[in-house]
Amino acid sequence: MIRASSVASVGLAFVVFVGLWKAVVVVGGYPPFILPPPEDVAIRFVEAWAGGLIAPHAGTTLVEIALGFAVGVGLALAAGYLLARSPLAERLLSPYIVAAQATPILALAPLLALWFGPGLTSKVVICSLIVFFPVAVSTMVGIRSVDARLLELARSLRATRRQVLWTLEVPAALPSILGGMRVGVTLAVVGAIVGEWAGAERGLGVLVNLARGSLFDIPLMFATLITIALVGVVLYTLVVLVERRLVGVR
Amino acid sequence: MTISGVGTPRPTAGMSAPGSSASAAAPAARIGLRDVAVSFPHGPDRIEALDGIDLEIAGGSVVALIGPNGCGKSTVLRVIAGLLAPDRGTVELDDDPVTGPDPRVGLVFQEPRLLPWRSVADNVTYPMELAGWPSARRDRRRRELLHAVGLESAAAARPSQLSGGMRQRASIARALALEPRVLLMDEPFSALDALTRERFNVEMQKLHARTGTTIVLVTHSIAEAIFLGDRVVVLTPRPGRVAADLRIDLLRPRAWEAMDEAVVSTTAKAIRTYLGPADDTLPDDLTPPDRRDHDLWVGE
Amino acid sequence: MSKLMNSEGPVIHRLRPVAALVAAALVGASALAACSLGASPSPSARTPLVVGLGFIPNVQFAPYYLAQQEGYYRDAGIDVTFDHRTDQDVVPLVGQGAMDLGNADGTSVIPAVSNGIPVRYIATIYGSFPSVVFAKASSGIESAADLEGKKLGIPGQFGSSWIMLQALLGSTGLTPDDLDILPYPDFGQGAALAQGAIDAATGFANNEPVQLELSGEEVVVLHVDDAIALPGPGLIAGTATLAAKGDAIRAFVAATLRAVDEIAADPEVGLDAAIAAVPELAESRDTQLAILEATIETWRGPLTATQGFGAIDREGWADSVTFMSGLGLVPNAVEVDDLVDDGYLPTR
Repeated sequence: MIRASSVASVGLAFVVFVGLWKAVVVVGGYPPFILPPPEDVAIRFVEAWAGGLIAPHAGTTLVEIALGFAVGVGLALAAGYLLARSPLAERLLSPYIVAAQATPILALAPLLALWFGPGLTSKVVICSLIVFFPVAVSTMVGIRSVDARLLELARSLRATRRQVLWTLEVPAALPSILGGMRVGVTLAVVGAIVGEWAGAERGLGVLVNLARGSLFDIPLMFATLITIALVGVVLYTLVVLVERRLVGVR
Repeated sequence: MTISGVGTPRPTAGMSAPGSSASAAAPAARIGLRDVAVSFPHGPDRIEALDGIDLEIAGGSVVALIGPNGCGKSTVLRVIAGLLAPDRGTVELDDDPVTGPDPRVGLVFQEPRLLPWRSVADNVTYPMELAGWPSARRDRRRRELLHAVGLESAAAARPSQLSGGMRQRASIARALALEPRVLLMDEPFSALDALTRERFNVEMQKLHARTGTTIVLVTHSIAEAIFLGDRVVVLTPRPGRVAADLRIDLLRPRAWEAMDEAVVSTTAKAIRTYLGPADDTLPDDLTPPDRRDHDLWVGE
Repeated sequence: MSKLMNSEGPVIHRLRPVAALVAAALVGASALAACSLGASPSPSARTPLVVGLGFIPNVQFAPYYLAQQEGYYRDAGIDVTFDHRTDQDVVPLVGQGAMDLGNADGTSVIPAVSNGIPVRYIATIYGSFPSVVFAKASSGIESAADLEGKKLGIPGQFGSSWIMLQALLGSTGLTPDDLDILPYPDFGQGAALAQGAIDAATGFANNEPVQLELSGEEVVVLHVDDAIALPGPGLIAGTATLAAKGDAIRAFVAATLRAVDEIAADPEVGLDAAIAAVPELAESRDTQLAILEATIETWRGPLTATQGFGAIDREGWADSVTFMSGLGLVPNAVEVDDLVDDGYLPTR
C-alpha cells in the first residue's frame, strides 16, 4: 500500500538531497571531473540507460546478487537453526563464524577470485559469505526467541519436531529472520561489487572502474554509482514487502 | 463436611455448549493420583514441591485446587497433564497410567498462549491441525467452538486486536477443540477484572453442564472455587500435601447471588482456616523494635 | 514568537537541527574545497611539488630517485614529494591540482582531456609504447598477422594494453574477434603463457617478457609503434598548476631528464639509486638490473636519437587521436595542442 503522503515525503527528501549536492558543487567550486553537478549526472544516467550501456552490466551484477543472496540465506537459515537448537554446535562453530565475519571481505575477495576464477562463481561465493553472518545470527536469535510457554503448549499437544518447527519456530522467528535479510540484501550488493573489483569482465563494479580509470567519464561513474544505490534500495524494499506479507499483523 | 443450599437457575447469555455431532457428551475421565511426590533441582539441592498427594477425581466432576503461593497447585496440573513425571507415585486417567502429554487433556493457562500470527479461528483449530484432522472436520468443529465461546464475530481477528477476556475465551475454545476427557485450568481467570471474572465463572458453569468434562481448576479465589467446584481441595504450603477436601453440595446451576448466603461464607471461613496465615503477613506494629522511641514519619 | 507556534511546538526550534546540519554540510564542503584547490604558496625558498608516480615503488622510477638523491631538484629550487597512489586516480587529481605533476599514459590523457579534465602532457618518459604482445619464440608467432586464431591472454578489455592490442591487430586488418581472447583479471597471463596455457599475452616490455627470458625461454615481442605511435607514459600537469608554477615545473622536467640521461648511459647508477630508495630491491639485484635495462630500451623512441629524451611526437599523438576516436573513446573532439605542451622541455 503506497500512501500519497509517503510518496510526497520520499520526493521531498530527494529534492533536498539533490539541492544539497548542487550546493556543495557550487559552494565548493568542484570541477565537473571531480564532483559533477546533479544535472550532468542525471543527463548521463538517462543517456547511458537509453543507449544500453549500463543495462548489460546491471544485469550481470543482479544475477550475482540474486544467486549469492539465495545461497547465503539458504546456508544461514540452516546454520542459524542449528546454532539456536544445539548448544554444542554453537560452542564449536561460533568462533569460526565470527572470525569469518571479522575478516574484511575486501581482503578475502582477491583470494576467492584466485581460487574460484574470474567468473560468476567467485562473486556468488563472496556475496554469500557477506550475507551469511547477519542472516544466521538473526535466525538464531529468532528461533531462540520463541516463547517457551508456546513450546510447552505444543508439547502438551504432542506436536512432532517438524510440526514445532513449521507451526511455531519459523513463524515466531520470521520477523527477526527478515530483519536480518534486510541487512543481508544490502550487503549482497556490496559483496557483488567487491567481487567484481577482484576481477571481472562485466558488472556495475567493473563499469565504475572503467568509467573512472579508462574512460575518464566521471558523470558516467556517478550514474553507475547511483544505479548501484538504486539496486540496493529496490532490493531492500522488496524484502520489506515480503516481510509485510509473511509477518502480517501480530 | 458438606454444605447444602439452594441455587436458582438463571438464564445467562454467553457461552453455550458446543454441539458435538457423534459425542453428545465427551467421555469424562476419572483421575487418580496416588502418593505423588515431585521435586525440582535448585542449585545443589532439590526443592520438594509435592510430598505424597492422594487424590481421586470422579469423571465429570469439577474439583477446585486452592492453596498458598508455591504450594504446588500448578505442579499437580502438570503431573496430570503428563508434562511432568513425578519422583514417586502413580497418576492414572481412567486406570491408564499417564506417560506423557495427552492431546485429549485440554489445558488452559493463566495467559492465553495464543499464537500471535494466527487468527482466532486458526488458533482454535491448531490442535486439530497437529492431530491431522481433515479440513472439513476442522471447519465444522471450529464453528461449533467459536459459537460455544461467543467469538464468531472475532474469528478473523488477531489476538493482539482482542481484549484479555476474549483472548481467554479463545484459549478455552482451543482447549476444548479435541473434545478432551479432562480439562485442566491453571488460574484461567486471574488476569481478568473482577466483573469479567464473575461472568466467566457463570459461563464456565454452563459449559461444564453441557460438555460434562472432568475439570480440575486451580484458583486463588475462594468464591470462584466454591462457585464452580463440586469439591474444593486445599493444599498445604510447600511441600504440598492435601490439607482439606471439602464437598460443595450447592445445587446446580448455581447463581452468584447465592454466594452471599451464610452457608457459603461458613465454607469460605473453613477454607481460610486450612489455608493458614501467609509467610509474608505484615506485622501489626509497623515500627521496628529498635526504633520504637522515634516517630518514623517525621523527617529523619 | 507566538505566531510561529503551532500545536506541535515552536517551528523555529524544530527547524534548528535541520538548519544546523545544512550549514555544517556547506561549511564542510567549502573547507574541503579550499584545501583541495591548492594551498597558498609557502614562504620557504624552494617551491614544493607533489608528484604522483602512479605505481608502487619500483626500479622504473630510478630517474626520480636519482634526481632526488643527487640533489638535482634541490639545486633547481624545488622540494619534491612523491605519491604512490594507483594510476587511475593520478589524472583527475593532477587536473584538479591536488597533485602538481603526475606520471600517466598518453592514451589516458586523450579521453581525459576530451572529458574536460584540464591536463597537459609535458614530457615523454617512454619513447616506445611499453605495452606489448609477447610469445615464446617456439610458438612460431613472428608478427601481428600470426596472432589470428591464437589464444591470447589479457588482464581485461580496458587500459593501455587493450588499446595497444586493437591498434596492433588493426594494422594487419584483424580485430580482437579474430583471436581467442582469455581474460586474466589477476594479471596472471604471464604465468599462463609460461605454462603453455595460452599462445601469447599482453604485458609490459620491462616486466613479463623479461621474466620469461630470465627463466630461459626465447621470447618474441611485438611492438605497436610501427603500426601507430601511441604515446606512452610521461609527465602531466594541470593547466592551472602550469600557469601558477611553470618555472618550477620546467626545472623539475630538466632535472628528471638529466637523471634519465645519466641512467641511460650507466644503468648501474640507476640501480643503486633505486636500491637506496627501496632497499627490498637489493634481494634480486640481477633481476632488477635486467628490468632496468629493458626499461631504458623502452625509454628510447624514434625521436630520442635526434631530440633527446622527453621529446614529444606530435604526429604520433595526432594519429593516436584519430585511432582512439575510431574506438569511440573521444566523446568531444580534441586537437594535439589541447593535449600536449612542449614548452616545458629543456632546450637542446
